[in-house]
This record gives sequence, structure tokens and C-alpha cells, in this order.
Amino acid sequence: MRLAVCAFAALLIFHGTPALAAAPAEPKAARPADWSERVSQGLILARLTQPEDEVLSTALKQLDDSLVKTLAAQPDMHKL
Amino acid sequence: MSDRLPRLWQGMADAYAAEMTVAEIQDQMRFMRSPLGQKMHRLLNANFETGPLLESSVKANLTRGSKPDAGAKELGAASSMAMLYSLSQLSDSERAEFVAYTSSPTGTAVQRAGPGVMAALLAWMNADDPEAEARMGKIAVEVFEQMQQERAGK
Repeated sequence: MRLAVCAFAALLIFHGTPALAAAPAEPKAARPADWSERVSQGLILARLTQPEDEVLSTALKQLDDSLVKTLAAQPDMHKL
Repeated sequence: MSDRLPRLWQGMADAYAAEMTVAEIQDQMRFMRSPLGQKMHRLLNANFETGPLLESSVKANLTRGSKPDAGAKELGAASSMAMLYSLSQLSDSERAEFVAYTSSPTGTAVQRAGPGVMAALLAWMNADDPEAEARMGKIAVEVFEQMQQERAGK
């Protein structure tokens, strides 16, 4: 199973529904002069939004809560 | 998974940097550290329904060559529902404060960054990582062997 399963722990305030199929944020033609500082501060915000301990503990808990139920709901699982 | 988290953080940071000024990013950090920001973060986590996303991920794993945006619909739906439930669990004054924040320049900047952040998250979720999967498989085998030994010991 992909580790990606655990990524659901990600909850980003305001990061709702629109434009989910949009491509990853592409660098703009001309980056602002303070790009490095933005990225540096953005990293701090990202860590604040997705702290390691919280992602891990939430992922494990949610795996525990959801995995059996999800697998049990699969028709093919019953055939097996 | 902790080995992979820096990749997610970097993708998110690039998305923030593309849409937000340094001052706006710092504003958002202040909001997230505020009582209301912490409460929203806690509620959103608690209200996030993982089942459909988990199912999608399992299916994607079974289908070789799955799309890089697999799970996008489920992630979006779960995020929306989590937001709605969370808003309903705020007091009237908290909700008003939150709505006012989302309408502020920083709040709108965060929303502009949202699609890029979600795309970074999906890319991270769907990235192939054979080494990590091999490690996870090894752990699964060890757990299975331990279960067999415990059963044999009974």
C-alpha cells in the first residue's frame, strides 16, 4: 500500500475544493525579488500546518479507524 | 513517512510563495497560532473523513499507471465536508471572526494558494516510492510472522 494513504491527515485551513485538478503551482514567469524569503517563510508555515508528529499520529489513527472498514466494503474482498 | 515529509513541505512552501507575500505568510502563521486558528485546525482534523480517500488510494495502488491526481475528488470532498462540519461547531462569534479573516487580504491570499497546495499534496500522495513500499512490506511480513508465532504459542 502506498504511504500516500497516510496523507489524508493533511488538512489545510481554507484549502477547499476549487480547482483540484489544477497543475501544481508553477513558477511564475518572473519570480518576485523576495522569492527565497517567501519560500523560507512558506516552509515554516507548511511545517506548522503539517507538523510531523501530528501527521504521523493522525495517519496511524485514521488507518486504524478506516482500513478494515474500507477493505470490508470492497466486493472483491468478499469474493476472496 | 517522516522521511518523505520534507518533500511535502517544500511543495507547499512553493505554492505559498507563488501566491502570498512574506507578510501574508507571517499573518497566516499568527492566525494558526491563535486560539481560533488552533481550534479550526483541531476541528478540521477531527472532521476529516478518510474512508473515501483511503479507498481511492487502495484502488490507485492496485491499478498500475494510476493518474498522478488520483484521489483529488475524494480529497476535495472530504476537505469541504470537514470545513462545513467545523464551521458548524464554532460559536457565532468564532464563526464571524473566521469569516472576517477569510475575507481579509491574507485570507484571500491563502485561498489563492489553496489549489497549488492541494496539487502539491496530491503529487506527494501519489508519488511512487518503491523503497518505502518495500520497507512497509517488510514490516507487514514481520507482523504476520509475529502473529503466527503468537498463535502457535497458544
